[in-house]
Amino acid sequence: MALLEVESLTVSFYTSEGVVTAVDDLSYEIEAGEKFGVVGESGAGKSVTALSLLRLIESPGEIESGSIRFCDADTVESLAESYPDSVVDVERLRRESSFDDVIDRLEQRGVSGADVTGNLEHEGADLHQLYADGELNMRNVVDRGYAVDLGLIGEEDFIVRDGETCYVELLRAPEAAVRRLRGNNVAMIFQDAQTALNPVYTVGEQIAEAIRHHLDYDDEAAKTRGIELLDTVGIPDAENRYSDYPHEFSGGMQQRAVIAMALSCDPDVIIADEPTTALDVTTEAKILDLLEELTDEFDTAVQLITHDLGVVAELCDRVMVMYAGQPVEKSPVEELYYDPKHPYTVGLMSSIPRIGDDRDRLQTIPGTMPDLIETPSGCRFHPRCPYAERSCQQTEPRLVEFDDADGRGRSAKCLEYTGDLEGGLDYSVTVESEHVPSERIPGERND
Amino acid sequence: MSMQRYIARRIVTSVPVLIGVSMVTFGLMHAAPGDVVSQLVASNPNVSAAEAVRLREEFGLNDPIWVQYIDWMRGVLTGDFGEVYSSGRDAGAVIWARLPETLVLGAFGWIFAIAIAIPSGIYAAVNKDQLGDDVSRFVALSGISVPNFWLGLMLMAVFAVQFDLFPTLDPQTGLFSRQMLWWLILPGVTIGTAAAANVMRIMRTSMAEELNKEYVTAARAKGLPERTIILKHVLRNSMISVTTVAAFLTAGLVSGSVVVENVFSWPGLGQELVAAIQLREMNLIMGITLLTGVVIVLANLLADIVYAVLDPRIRDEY
Repeated sequence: MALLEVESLTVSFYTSEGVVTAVDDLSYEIEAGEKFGVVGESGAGKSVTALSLLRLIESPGEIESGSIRFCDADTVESLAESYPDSVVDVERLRRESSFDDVIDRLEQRGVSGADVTGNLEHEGADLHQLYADGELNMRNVVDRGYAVDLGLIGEEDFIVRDGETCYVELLRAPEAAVRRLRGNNVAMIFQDAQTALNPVYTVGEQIAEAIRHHLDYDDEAAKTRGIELLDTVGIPDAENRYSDYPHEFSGGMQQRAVIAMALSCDPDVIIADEPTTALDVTTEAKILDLLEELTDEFDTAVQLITHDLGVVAELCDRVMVMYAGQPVEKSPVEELYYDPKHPYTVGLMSSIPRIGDDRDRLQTIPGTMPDLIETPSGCRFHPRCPYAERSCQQTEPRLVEFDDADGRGRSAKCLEYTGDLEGGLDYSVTVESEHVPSERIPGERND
Repeated sequence: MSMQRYIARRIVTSVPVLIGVSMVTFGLMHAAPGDVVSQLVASNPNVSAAEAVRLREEFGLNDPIWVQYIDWMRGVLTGDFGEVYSSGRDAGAVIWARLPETLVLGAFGWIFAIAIAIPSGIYAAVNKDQLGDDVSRFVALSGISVPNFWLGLMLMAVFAVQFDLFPTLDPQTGLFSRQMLWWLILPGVTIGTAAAANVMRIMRTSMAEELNKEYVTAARAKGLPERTIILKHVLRNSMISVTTVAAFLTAGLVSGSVVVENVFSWPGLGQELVAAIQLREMNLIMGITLLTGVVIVLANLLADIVYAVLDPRIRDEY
């Protein structure tokens, strides 16, 4: 099991103009220590995804469906101790209920193979056959929430154990349990450090309060740790700057402080929501270096949200490209650059300015992100896609999975890969041999 | 250090304000028809015309207005507020004797207002656009709309007359005696109601605004309990705009006390002021006005200090 698994997440906002489905049937996973990039234009649903992971979507937004599973064994154990009545043992479920019976009941409800396994190729397949093939078992039923619908487990059973593996289902967890994970296991770095810091408390206090709350440190110990953290993130004279207020920090230092805050309880995952957008380019490079260095050091997984493919190239192992609330391509990072599979990814990449490029204008993707209240029919990208055909307006492509040369999984959501595109995707990628993609601006750590 | 200099500077700059207030009051009182002697003559037919002329001469009322003003000011600077013509007592002594009653009434009104307004404002902001919020906003709007003399009379009619819970007359005991403090409740509530309603509305608005800020999401993302987020992070930021309004409302509390003291016959400066205006007791009116000015200046100064305590960014500006 991966550290964090998001499956079929759908988040809607009920506005006066209509229902905006900001995130639509989104699935991805992050391994422990992995750097995972989420890329897309403004409005693609990146930040909503991030806030959903912490269950911080506020009214009028609502997480409609899906599953967010967090699988750090120690954390699950400690939650299981506090919520012994909310633990589900899948093995016991297997023993105690007949799975054929479960399948019958699923079929009665019209649940398809793809619904319950999450694999789109199982659409229309017979559930009994899938079970016989070993593609479907009790775990799928529990993971995807059907066990609750069928009454096999309770609404509030959010801790799942299955032999060696265990996880916490965040979307069923009570608020108090989620609060124990926030900041402690899953931390967040905000886009604009200046607004993310409370102006009336010292930077130190804002770091220390989480340490006191989650790790039960006393005032003195929390302060010591806070100073250490400020020092770690490269704030000079940390001991004195600890009692400074946010407005006394420069923009770069504020972002460093926010990183220190995110690191304060040694989380398993850090969600970094455009952490460098508000900063100038040199500071951006330093902050990214710092983030990479520290997350490597503490073996922290990162979900890096950005609209900048350059930032992704620098930091991430794997990327998900989002468009209009849906993933359009998932890929290991080098593969995405050398062999992009989705026309939107290609569009994003050709809009990166390059040194030595003597065109007068930057290339852009024509048009804008569609209105999420009334999304285009078929492929959501078709109105802006240079390769769109008639079929793209009618058929919504599915996310097709395939392996790259090294056997690592990637996927793309384009009719090309189901063989439904007549003209094919007519683009080519040129790799400049002297271009080193991950070159960084060297610099000292102090701002 | 810089804070002390700031306070010193504020006190110095408030002197011209107070002088201005005294000049305007002095000028307006003189522009009004009649003076203390004509009032004395009117209420006492035994005073002859010759005596009236002599009294005017004795009180200095025939001097040009600026001479009278300078005489008065000279007295104030040496601590002499002049005499109360009709009784011959010292105006300063009269004010001093009545001041504690008014301060206690004002303080009670304030404490009542804050004690009601802050929690209900927080409640309304946290439950914005829900039933509880609507109810508290309706109550607040009523509190602002109701004239305080009417509210005072109604409270008296219901709680003092109908249910006989409170006395209707001055129990004539010491200010801090039990009877007196019990009697204080109705006028205190009357005077504090409008302030409570105003502060509550500001509290709700500013807290609702603060709740939308990103530092709140950041605090939630840290896993802090909602209670800590509201009472620690949001409250302190919301109090900044509440402080502005609170200082501003002090003036309303002072003028309110004039009405309320008369409705309840509370023996404070407000009652004294109304009597003084009827008799054209110049020295008494001037003394009370000046004192009111000082109170308002002090309230604003206090608000500025509270700002600085609440918000480090303001602290740095001093």
